[in-house]
Amino acid sequence: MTNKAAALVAGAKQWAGYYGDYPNGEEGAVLTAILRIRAAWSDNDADAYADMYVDEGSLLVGDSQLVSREEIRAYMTEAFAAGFRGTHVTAEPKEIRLLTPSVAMAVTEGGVIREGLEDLDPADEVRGLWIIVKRDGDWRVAAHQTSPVKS
Amino acid sequence: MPLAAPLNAAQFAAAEQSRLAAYYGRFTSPEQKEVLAVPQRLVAAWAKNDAGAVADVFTDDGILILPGDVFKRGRGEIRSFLAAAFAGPFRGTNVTGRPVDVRFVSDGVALIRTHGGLVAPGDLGIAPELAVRSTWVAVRDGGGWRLAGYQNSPRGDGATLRW
Repeated sequence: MTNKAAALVAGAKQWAGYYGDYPNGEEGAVLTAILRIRAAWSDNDADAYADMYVDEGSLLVGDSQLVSREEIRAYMTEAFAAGFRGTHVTAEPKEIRLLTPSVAMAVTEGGVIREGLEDLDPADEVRGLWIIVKRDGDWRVAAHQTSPVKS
Repeated sequence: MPLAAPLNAAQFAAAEQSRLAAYYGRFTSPEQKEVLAVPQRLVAAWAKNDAGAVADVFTDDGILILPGDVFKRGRGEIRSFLAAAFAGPFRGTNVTGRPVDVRFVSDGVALIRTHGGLVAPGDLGIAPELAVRSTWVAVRDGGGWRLAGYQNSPRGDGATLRW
């Protein structure tokens, strides 16, 4: 195996693990929205991140309540250039539930891994609630908020 | 000090109407008011420190997430958790809040965000330590609305309460 192939296999294995208990089915489809959010965050790509939200999507970051995709885009553009630069985010699914065929509620545990760290500092652990909706056949985030677990 | 005369029925009704108008704020459509009854039911149940009545605001498999390591699934877990809380440091507390966002994400699913918090026994308002931002995920359940999910997060740097 080439180094590139080996890296891809390792990356794919890690990525597959992100699905946790929800690899397939409609719950797995819902979870793709969160995985795409993670990927966008890893790339520190504010546009890709914001594009995962619906127009009127809401996001609570720290004590800042953002209430539209464009507010999210603006906030994350600044954040990825400063405080969130080089950070990653983890979000392990603990619960995914279809409230209707096009609205799902998910609970994740994880948090922001600070730049230079391999793993999440327990002090940074949060529990997140997501409302994820199906728009034009694909899943997007309508609302997301986190609560501190240990800090 | 002279005691204020008790309100007569009409005065009471007027005061109640004015309190409700202040609570609804700009969310005055019949649908919005209907779903905003959910937080009011929780507030009323909490005022009695009635864990069963608070849990009854949730769906049978409703989820409760609070700052600190609290992730309760189902009315039964919520009721037991709150019964213990009301037996402990949360005895005599009230909760309060006002809606800052109400939206319907589909027929039968509403998202409410409120700014509020816990009111310590004897206090009239929310101390900074106890201020929260809440998201309420309300679903139509039979004839009314119940909570499929409720989460709150600290509001402001001074919001130090963990459960």
